[in-house]
Order: sequence, then C-alpha cells, then structure tokens
Amino acid sequence: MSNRQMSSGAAARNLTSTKGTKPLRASQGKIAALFLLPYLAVFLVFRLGPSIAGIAISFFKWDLAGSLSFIGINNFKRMLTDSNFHTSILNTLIFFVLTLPPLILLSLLLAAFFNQKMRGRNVGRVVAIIPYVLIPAVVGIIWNWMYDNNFGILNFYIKKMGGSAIHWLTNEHVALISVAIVIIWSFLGYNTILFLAGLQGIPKELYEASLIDGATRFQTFMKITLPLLKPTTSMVVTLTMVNTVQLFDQIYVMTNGGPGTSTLTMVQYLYTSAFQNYEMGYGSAIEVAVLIILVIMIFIQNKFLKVDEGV
Amino acid sequence: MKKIIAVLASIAMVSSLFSGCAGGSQPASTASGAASGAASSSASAPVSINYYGGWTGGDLDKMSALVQKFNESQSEVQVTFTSLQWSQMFTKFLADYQAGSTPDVVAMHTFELGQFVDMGVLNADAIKGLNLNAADYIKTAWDGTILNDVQYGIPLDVNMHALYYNKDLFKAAGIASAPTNKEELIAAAQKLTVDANGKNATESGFDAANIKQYGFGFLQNHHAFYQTFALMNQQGYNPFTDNMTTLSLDSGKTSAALQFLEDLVYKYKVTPAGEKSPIDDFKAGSVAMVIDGNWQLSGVNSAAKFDWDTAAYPQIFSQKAVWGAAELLAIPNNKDADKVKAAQTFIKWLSDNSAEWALSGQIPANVKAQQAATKIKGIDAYNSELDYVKFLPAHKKSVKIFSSAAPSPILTAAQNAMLNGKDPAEITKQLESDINKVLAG
Repeated sequence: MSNRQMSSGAAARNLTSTKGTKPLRASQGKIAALFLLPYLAVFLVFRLGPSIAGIAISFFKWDLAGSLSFIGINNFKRMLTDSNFHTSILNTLIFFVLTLPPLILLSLLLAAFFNQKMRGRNVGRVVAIIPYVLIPAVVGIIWNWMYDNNFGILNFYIKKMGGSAIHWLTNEHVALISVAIVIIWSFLGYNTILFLAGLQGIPKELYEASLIDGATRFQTFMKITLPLLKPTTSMVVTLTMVNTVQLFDQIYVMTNGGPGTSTLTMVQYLYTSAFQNYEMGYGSAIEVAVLIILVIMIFIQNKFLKVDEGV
Repeated sequence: MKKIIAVLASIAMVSSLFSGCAGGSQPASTASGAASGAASSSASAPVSINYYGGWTGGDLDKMSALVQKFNESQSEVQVTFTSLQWSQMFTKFLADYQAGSTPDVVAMHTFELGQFVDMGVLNADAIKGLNLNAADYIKTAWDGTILNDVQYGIPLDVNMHALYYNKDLFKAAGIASAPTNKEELIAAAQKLTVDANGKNATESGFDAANIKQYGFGFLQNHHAFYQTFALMNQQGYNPFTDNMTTLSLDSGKTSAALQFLEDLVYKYKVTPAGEKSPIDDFKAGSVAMVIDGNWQLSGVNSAAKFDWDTAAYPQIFSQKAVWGAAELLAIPNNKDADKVKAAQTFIKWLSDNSAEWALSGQIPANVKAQQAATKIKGIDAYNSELDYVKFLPAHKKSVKIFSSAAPSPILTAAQNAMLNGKDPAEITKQLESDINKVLAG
C-alpha cells in the first residue's frame, strides 16, 4: 500500500511538473474523466445521493408509504430518552473494544509470521484469507451450528474435557463476546494481508543496516518495522473501525440483536427501526449518529496515528 | 446484507426525493366499482399483475405452482409472483407503493393487517366488491381479515402450534399416547429425557449436565411468547386487543404462564435451554417432543426416519387454547381499475383452489378447499385446534409489539424467561412497561 501511495504520489508530481515532461493535454483529461464517469455515476446515485437524502430524512417522520412530515430535531431528541438506542451505543462500543485490539495485534503478528521465508507460506496466506471471503451470512450460519448449546461442536469438546456447556449465543453476558470471536476470525485474514503488503514495502537495506549495528530483533521491530508500518497501521485501524461499527450481517443471522437487547448494535437498531418498524426518519437519525461516532473515532485515531505528509 | 440495506435505503431515499416529497404520485384508493372498469380493457391483451408473498422453502414451491396453474388456466390475467422473507417483502411493497408501482396483491398475516390499514395502503372496497360469504371460510380466519368492521383481505390459510412426537421413542419409554395435560406432559418429558448413562429424568443419579436426549423442545424466541400467549388464554385471559391504548397485565396469570415454560427448562430439566432449532433436533431424534407449527409438516414428512405423529397443544390450565395466525391476501390501492379487477379475479381463484396449498402443511381457510385437500400426515391435530385457536390482535403497532427482532417487548420477555430464568413477576412487569412504551410512542 505504501508503495502504491509513493508511486501514485510520484505520478502526481510528474503530472503537475512543467520541467522535463509535457503538461497533460486537455483531450487526455477528458478521456480520464470518461474513465471515471461510470464509477462517479454509481457513487452519486447509490452512495452520495442516499447519504444526503438520509441526513435530510432524519428531520422528517415517514413510514415509507405516506408523505413525509417535517418534525425538526424530534428524532434526535427521541434518541436522548430512548433506552434501546443507549443500549445499542453501549453494545457497539463494547463490541468495538472487543474486536479492534485483537484484530490489529493478531493480524500484525500473523503478517510478521507469514513474512518469514518458509515452506508453505503461500498456502498459509490463502488459508488466512478464506474466512474473509466467505459470505457473512454463511459465516453466521456455520458459527450458529458450532455455538449450539446442546448439540454444537464447541460444547461437545468442552463437555469431553469435563467442562460445562457454555450458552454462547443465548446468555446475555456471553452473546456479544461470541459474536466478537466470529468477527475476529472473519476479519483477521484481511487485516493480515494488508499488514503483509506493508511489511513487504519496507526496504531490506534498513534491516541489514540494523543487523550490522547490532540491533536485536525486538529493537529492529520497534525502531524500523513499526514506524515504517505506520501508514498501513493507520489504514487498517480505520478500516477495522468502520467494519466493526457498521457490522450487521453476522449479528442479524446469529442473534438478531438478542438475547433481549444484549447484541443490539447501532446498525442493527437502525435496520429494525427503518425496515421493520418503518420509522424511516428515526432510522435515518440513527444513521447520522453512526456517522458522527465514526467521524469522532477516526479523528481520535488520526491524532494517535498521525501519518506525516510525504511518508 | 449490507448491500441489501444499501439497495433498500437507496430505493427509499431516492424515492423520497423524487416522488415522495412531491406528494402527488401516491396511488389513490379505488372504489369497489373498479370491477366494472374492466369492461373497457382490451379483450385480447392479458392484464399483468404483480403478487408479493413472504414464503420460503417448500411453501414457496407450492405457491409458485399455484400461480403457474392460474396463469395456464386462463388468458385474461397473468400473474408475476415475487417472494422474499416477510419483513423484506413488506419493505419492498411499501417502497414500490410509494414509487407508484404498487404490487396488485400482497400476502400478510392477520396481526400485520393493523399496520397497513393505519398507513392507508389497502383497498377495502376491492375486497367488498368480491361479495365473499363468511360461511365459506373458517371463522377465525375470516374474523382475522376484519378490522373495525371493515374487511381488508380474503383469508388464505391458518397456522398454529401443535405437538410433534416421536412414536418410536415413546414406545421405547413405555408411553402409550401423546400427553394432553400438564401432568402427562411433564411425566412423559421426564421419561424421555435421557442422560449419557441411559438414565431418565425420573431416576436417581440422573446427570442433568450430560443429557443425550431431551423430552420436550420448543423455539425460545418470539415463539416462546406465542406459547405464553396461549397459556394466558388457557386461563381465560387475553389482554391484547385491536385498539388497546395502554396495557395492564394480570401479573398472576401472566406469571403462571411464564413459570410453566421456565420450569420445563430449570426445574424439570426436560427442555434444552437456548434451543435454536427444535424441529431439526426432532428430525434428528435428539428431542422426543417439540411444539411447532403446521408449516413444518412437509419437512418432517420428508425427513423423519422414524414413526411420528402430531397431537393437539396440551391443555396446561383450565381451558383449551393455542396460538395461531392466519394468512390473508390483500389488494393495495391502485388507480388502474383493470389491475384491481385482475387482482380480484386472481385472489378469488387462489382461495377457491387452495386445496393444493394444503400440501405444504397449510390449512386452507376456504372451507371447501379444506375439505377437498389431500390430508398431509400430521394435519389432523392442527385441524382439531381450529375451534379454540387464538390470534394476536391486528393493532396498528402489533408489528412493533410482537416483533421477532430486537428490540422487541415479547422477545425480551421470552428470552428473559427461557434463557435467563428470571422471576416471572419481574418479566411481566417489564413486558407491560415495554409494551406501554411502544403504545405511547
């Protein structure tokens, strides 16, 4: 990724430079715009348009069938007193805390492992990414069976070892952790591949120099690998944040927000409000809240993992 | 699923910008005289109509076959059938309605009717124009199509809970017949709950931590509340009405219903806590009796490798009652009189020819169709319950109150009882409070 950033940065400099290269001709610019047009059209119609409409709808009461009626900030006021919304925020944040650290640390370790020269490395990399390419609903169904209280394979082995059956998805204190395990399993390979790309972009000469200087492997990792991996880490943290906060599929399949409201996340609540209760305005207001929370999180993340310009 | 949401949101939001805000493209209500408008339609070109349903699996195949049969039986009306999961289908229905391309026929359950009536999207006059006769339909199903003295649909079928039991396991345990009351049910379930050492729940040394075969199973989601509802009715108590504005629950009766279900898990230990798919456990032979609906009959008939049968839902309290629901066919508002006429023709035909629908385990609401239907194995027990089946009300907020997805008052109550073993009186209190919050919202 960093390689790609560097090369695209160099390309940009070349395009804007007046020395040594010819300026981009107007006709070439038009052709470039034409190439961009299909994606731009899709983005405007299916991404940007609905997003803006969603923000607008959050100020209306609308049951999808009738006309919209403007209610100002009432949907946002309702959030202040809606205990289910508060529960959904809390669950989302707990879920975020449960998944983000393991997804960063474990994937970094796994990437470092797969970055070694060894036999079967490529096979290992493919195996690591398989959970990510499975359809989320399928992942949910598979784990549903594995988590079954009475006849699931996990409890089978736990009982074999003399333990008591765990109510993975039906105990309100355990369900969110169980879903988090599935998400970590599912996204670990994806993050690993991203870190692996970052690791492979670090020049080998730096490691050779540190070896000559007598640095230990730990020192090399802390002083060379981690700092140079910062752009990748920043990107992985951002993507993981977005993916976990917006998580819906697996929860929908595995618990549907239950037991009770113990796995009710913000996006799950958004879905129920908008598409089951037909409170489109309130669902849109929750969407705005998700957006604000994500922006705040990314802002904080940028503070801690600030990537210097030109890196 | 994210993609589905994105598509649905796009439809909703884009349509809000380009049609909803304009406020002029909403389909208008059509009078019963719509039928007369058909005379002006072209004699040669068939009228094409869209029909939305929420069936999946075997039900879907049977309904698709019925639609195809209708299309082949005449040349005036051609029906395009679309089936999605219920909640997704309703979202599509409303989005299409808003966009001015409403489906012409929509299937729904009786308890969902109130919401759509409140939205004003259903054409009651089109149903009135069919001149249906109440005597031709099962009474509970017929009553379920009427809200505030107005009929909004034609009854299609009736669904209920009943008891599935494994006759081979009964024979091995020395039990002669299916349980009919509380004492028989608990006694049978205890005998049929067997641990890893082969001891049943009535024997000393029974190891409740290592149960290999359970005696009694049931879904512990919203269906556990449906059973609570049945058990409240068995005490002659039904606080839920079509027009309730507040709810005051009888703590004694509601708690007694919840307590009975909790005891099966936590006191008698004959029901697996957190059971996800009792019918699959039943088919696998790991649970001897389960409570489930007639929509499972087709699947059990084809999958069970043992002798089995069904029995009426046991009478636990003073009178018989069982939870049920009916499906109905409604016609949304539409300016196009030809399409309304075609929809009328189609739903009348479907009702009259619903005998084949029974092959999927459904009980046709049309009496003649019910009598003509080939009896699928296990249906008799369900038919025997028709006189005392109880429906949830068609309140305008029923979909929210009786939702199967969190946050749902009934789901929270059911799971607090079945999964957490909480005090039934406390659950009752919270249920009352949660429902009142929805009613006040």
